[in-house]
Amino acid sequence: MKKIPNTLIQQLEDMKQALYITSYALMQNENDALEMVSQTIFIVLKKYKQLKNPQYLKTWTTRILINECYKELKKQKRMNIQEDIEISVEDISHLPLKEAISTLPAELRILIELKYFQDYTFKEISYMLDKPITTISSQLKKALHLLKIELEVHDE
Amino acid sequence: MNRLEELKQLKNQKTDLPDSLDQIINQQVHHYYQYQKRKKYIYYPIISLCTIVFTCLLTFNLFPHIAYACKDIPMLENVAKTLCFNQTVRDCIDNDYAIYVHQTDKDMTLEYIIVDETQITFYLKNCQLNDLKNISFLKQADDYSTVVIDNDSYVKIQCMYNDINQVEFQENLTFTVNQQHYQFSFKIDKNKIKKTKVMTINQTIMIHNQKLTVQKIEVSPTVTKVYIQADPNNTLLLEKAHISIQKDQQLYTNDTGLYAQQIKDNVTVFMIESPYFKDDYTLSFHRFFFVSPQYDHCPIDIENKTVTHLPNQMQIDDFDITDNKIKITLSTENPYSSYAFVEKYRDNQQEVDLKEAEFGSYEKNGKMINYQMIEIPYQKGHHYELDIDYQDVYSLYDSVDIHQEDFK
Repeated sequence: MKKIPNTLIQQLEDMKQALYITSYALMQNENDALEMVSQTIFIVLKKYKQLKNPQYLKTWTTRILINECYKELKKQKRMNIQEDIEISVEDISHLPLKEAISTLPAELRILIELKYFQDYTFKEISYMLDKPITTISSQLKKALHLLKIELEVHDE
Repeated sequence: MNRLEELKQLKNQKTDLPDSLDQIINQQVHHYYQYQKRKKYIYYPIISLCTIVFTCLLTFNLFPHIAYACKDIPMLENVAKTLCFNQTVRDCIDNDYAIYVHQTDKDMTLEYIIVDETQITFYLKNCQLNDLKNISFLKQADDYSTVVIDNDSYVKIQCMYNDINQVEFQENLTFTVNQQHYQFSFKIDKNKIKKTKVMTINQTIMIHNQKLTVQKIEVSPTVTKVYIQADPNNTLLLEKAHISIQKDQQLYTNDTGLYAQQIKDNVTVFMIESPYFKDDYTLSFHRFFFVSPQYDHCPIDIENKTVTHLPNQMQIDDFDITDNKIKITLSTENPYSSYAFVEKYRDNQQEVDLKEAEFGSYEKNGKMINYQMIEIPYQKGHHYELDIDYQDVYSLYDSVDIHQEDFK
């Protein structure tokens, strides 16, 4: 039986909080966010030997997590449970900025989360989302523009 | 509070992390080890077994000689038996009567030969049946057939002999395909040819006043011949019989593919696959098809607007005479009949081909009726007769079982 290296377990322990926050930013729901983190950790344990450069473990894991979250969101969209998610969004919003971020579409919300809350570089975000840097940059601009409009409406 | 401060506050705000997050890594590590165990003890053995079975299945059916070769290996004998779809290949393995050749000339392979007292059968691979010519063995044979079997993978050439012991076998098979000449050499040991079992039955079956006698059966390793004699006083002629060989369940039947052959005036031989290597089986007759004797000339009775001496199952739907034409519509309910009833007629004994005719079918009381509309040029005072090419077909059900213990 393949033994999991202790260093890998330690690294996963260190990044679990960041993974949960990213997952939460996308799923907007505690249970779903935890479920996605569990699934991601299991996939990482199964496939960590495929990772050629251990330096990229964090970005690789985040990429897996984002893919899993997108898959789950698609599934949920098919099952028409979008309304439940919106209700839970309102429950957790306190600050106007947080509230405005939560109104963004999932693909823009994750950009704000990764860039401004988890301080990833454009290169890392580009790898995680499997999109060119220029696309990431323009989408981020769009997200900021939408945020600005949302906050202006709020201020009025 | 400006937006920058708000962002800083949001960044520094300790997100409420659920308690279960603490244990998530340990749980997944445990889950992963369990998954590894399942994979090791359940998934891998199942996948391996499926792969082995699939490989054997493919090998034994693509390469029958491998299946044949497996018969001497204790464990693989049963595997080969179970996995071979082809009845002939299975019989080869079971009873060791096939001569395994596996000889290739150009692109064609002679896989094996089966010889018994009635016929010699060659199994050729990659053979194009349509262009098969000049088969050397056919010169000596009394009858032959060529059949494609196993989804085009084999061509079976059967050469039939009345008495194989009288035949001086060549030790090579030659033939031509697409102007290419092929030759295979092999050895047939006549001493190894299994004797045909001839069993006398002489049992009489009466079906709707038609008397039939099952005289005997001849069972060779490749074919069973059932001899049925029809009584000369029968009013109908025996055309077909559905026969099967059963042992607990149906083993073989002649419903599809196999044929009958009339050897004398009133004896018909029906052929079925062979239970040569089996005991305690039953020969069952399920259904007999009789036909009426051929109808020849049916005179047209102009005065009474009818046709006389028509076949029993044929009716006149319509009869109309104008100054220069006779229009007749004939029909039959017989599901076994085709449309062609009349192709010629006689005008004052002079044979004339029918030029105007229309065929069709319609439904009446849930039954399909086939009809033919005929138009004949009419001249007053002439005598007309229709040449009807039609036989009434009678499908008579009866079930007669003859057990092997009644054979003599």
